[in-house]
Amino acid sequence: MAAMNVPNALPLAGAATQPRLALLLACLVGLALVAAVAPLAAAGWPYASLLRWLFSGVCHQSAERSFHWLGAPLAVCHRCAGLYLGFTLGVALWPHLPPILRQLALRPTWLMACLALPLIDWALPNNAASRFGTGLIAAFPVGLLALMALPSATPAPHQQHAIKE
Amino acid sequence: MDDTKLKPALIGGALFGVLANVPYVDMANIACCALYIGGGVLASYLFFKGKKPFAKPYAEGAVVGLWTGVFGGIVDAIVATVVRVTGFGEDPEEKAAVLEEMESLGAEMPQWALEIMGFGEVTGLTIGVAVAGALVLFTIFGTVGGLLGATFFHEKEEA
Repeated sequence: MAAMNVPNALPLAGAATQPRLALLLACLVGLALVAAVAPLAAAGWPYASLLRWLFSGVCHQSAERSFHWLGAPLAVCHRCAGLYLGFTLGVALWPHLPPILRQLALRPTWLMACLALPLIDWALPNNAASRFGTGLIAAFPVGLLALMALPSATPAPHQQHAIKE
Repeated sequence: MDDTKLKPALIGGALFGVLANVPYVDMANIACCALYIGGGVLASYLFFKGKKPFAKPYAEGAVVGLWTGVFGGIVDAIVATVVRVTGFGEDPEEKAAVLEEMESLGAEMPQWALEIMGFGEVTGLTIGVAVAGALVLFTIFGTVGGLLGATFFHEKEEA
């Protein structure tokens, strides 16, 4: 039986720190680069291909598996776009989730089950929404891990076992 | 960085830095950057294996993953430059297809930009960009791998 306590002393409760904001800013810059490729290419900017090439090492960039904006594909595919957005949302939203959800921070291994979703989706017939959605869900808890690695957001050892089974 | 982190980071970085340039194996990176993340996970496993619980396991894992990314990026850039100079493992058809796709966008790029992207001679600029790009990618995703590794491999304290 789960006995939850220390609802006001959860990890991440005071995570509105400069490192978190710096991480969030870096994530937003990355997302902006991913999205900017499309309008820049549509506008005929000569270096749009160079910007797109920067992401070629981490994504297949298949046009038919990518979101389009102004008629041009984004720099990464549906799934990668979901992964990047999910991580960014994780960094931004975890500290603001209701206490009951933030208790999951005490058992991050459970959250890692989300990582299986893109694999399952990959193995089954999929579409743009499923690729994007499973990427988003998989990366969201990874944002939590990043927050827990930041200096002021790491749970104290006594907090790691606030939930006893 | 202490010695306990150095060895796992070197092993993970060197192994996956080389793998990222092996034909066909390198395609694993288009599956959610599996090779970059894998280096961090391996290093994290080697670091946490047999150690007592840490007060801040995720911070430790992130540092191990980050350094794995630094070493992996350097190894990746060196191997990639050697591959490019020798032409070993290159696919001319793939290059032609990429060039064709770029031309279809209608924008003409200057020669230096094409050289950076691998179409032309190897220069100091191309090597510098290869090193910087590999460092950025490996460091980001290596750190993510270190965090994931910490989740799975760090010794949990008994309640």
